[in-house]
Amino acid sequence: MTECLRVVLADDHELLLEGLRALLEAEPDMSVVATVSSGAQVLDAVGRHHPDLVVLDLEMSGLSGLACLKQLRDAQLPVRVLVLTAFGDGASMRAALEGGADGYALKTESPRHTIEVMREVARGHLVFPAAAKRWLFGRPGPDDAGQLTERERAVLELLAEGSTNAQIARRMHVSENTVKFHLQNLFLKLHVSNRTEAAAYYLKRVMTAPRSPR
Amino acid sequence: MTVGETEKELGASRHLLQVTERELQRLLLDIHDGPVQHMYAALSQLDLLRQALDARLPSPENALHGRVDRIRRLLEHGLTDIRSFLGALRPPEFEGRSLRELMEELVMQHETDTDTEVSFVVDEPVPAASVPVKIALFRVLQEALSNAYRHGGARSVIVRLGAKGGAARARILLAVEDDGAGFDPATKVGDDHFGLAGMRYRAELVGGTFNLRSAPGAGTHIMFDVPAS
Repeated sequence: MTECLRVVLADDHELLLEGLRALLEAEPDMSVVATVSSGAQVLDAVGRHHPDLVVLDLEMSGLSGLACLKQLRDAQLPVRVLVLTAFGDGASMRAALEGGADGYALKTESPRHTIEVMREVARGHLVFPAAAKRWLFGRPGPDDAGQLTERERAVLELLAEGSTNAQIARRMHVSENTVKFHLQNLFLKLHVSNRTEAAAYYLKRVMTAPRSPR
Repeated sequence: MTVGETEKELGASRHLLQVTERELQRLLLDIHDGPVQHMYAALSQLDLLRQALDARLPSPENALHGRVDRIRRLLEHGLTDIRSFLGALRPPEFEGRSLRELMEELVMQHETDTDTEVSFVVDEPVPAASVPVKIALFRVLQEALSNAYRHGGARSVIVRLGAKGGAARARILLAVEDDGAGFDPATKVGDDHFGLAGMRYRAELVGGTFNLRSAPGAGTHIMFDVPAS
């Protein structure tokens, strides 16, 4: 049996909470441990129930979704956050990404799509539109396709040492989302699908690289 | 008209731009709080109904399955319509953001919605713009990007943001160039197929100018030149 994904839903629209909760409860690999209908309750619910994932509306009355996100990140709670909103504008995407959200899904897509994104985020992927990630983390120059940038090489080195994303983020003075973004680009460029393969690639290159004369 | 009267009229025009954006914000929040939540919730319930049907009436040929799927598609189309509507009209937070940020975010949203890439070139420094100028330039860029995508079939779109003039009389320049199909302005301006009159009107509301160069097969080049404040 697969491990159950523990979810907190935060939205001030009761109908939406009720519908999504019922749908998630019918999924074999998901369990809704709490629903909250105001931003002020989010931090408490996460502290109390230790979910794997919070699905967070941006436009909640009282404390906004972005303010909740900041609280969660400031408290360094190990929870993934998926923003679920009706608005796909650049400013909202940027604010969510910079605020440390792990994913961004639209209420104008189907609930089935939301559930797919929840699973992606739970697997540790950063799920934002490609354009948002390009804008925030810089675009690759025309000549460096396939070549690792300096930042990507630094991430790869730390990853091969066995560092977690949080440790890499601290060492490089960047957010965890930035680390995830570099990792996704790394994987694409190296044609690998996970950290272990990326580390193996790095170690193999180090072992076979000609030694510099001393 | 005296200089004083012109200034007064310009002030009223600028105020109108801000009021329009505020009204729009209110309207879109109503759509967000109403139809979007209801349709999303209805889709969740429908998915549950479909699952219950699958459990009780396993035959995929059953007419009930088809009917549920049809309702689901209709609701999903409805949400897609609302998405383009919200995306096109929702005003950003103009007060707290620089013109550059606003334009970046607009380009980002356009790229996401259309799955295309746009080159955005900024010639810094760009002077601080007043809110009405930000609104006018945001809306005209939105229209220009939408035109390049919908009508022009462009492969390359370049947006340039820059400035000229000294601090006291600084002007902001915004240009949008595409290599799309282009058109004959003499025939299109009349029926305003491209929202050109709207772009010109918005530029003029903030005391600026709008110029357009296009020809069939030669792409389209749109330029705005407006006072920064």
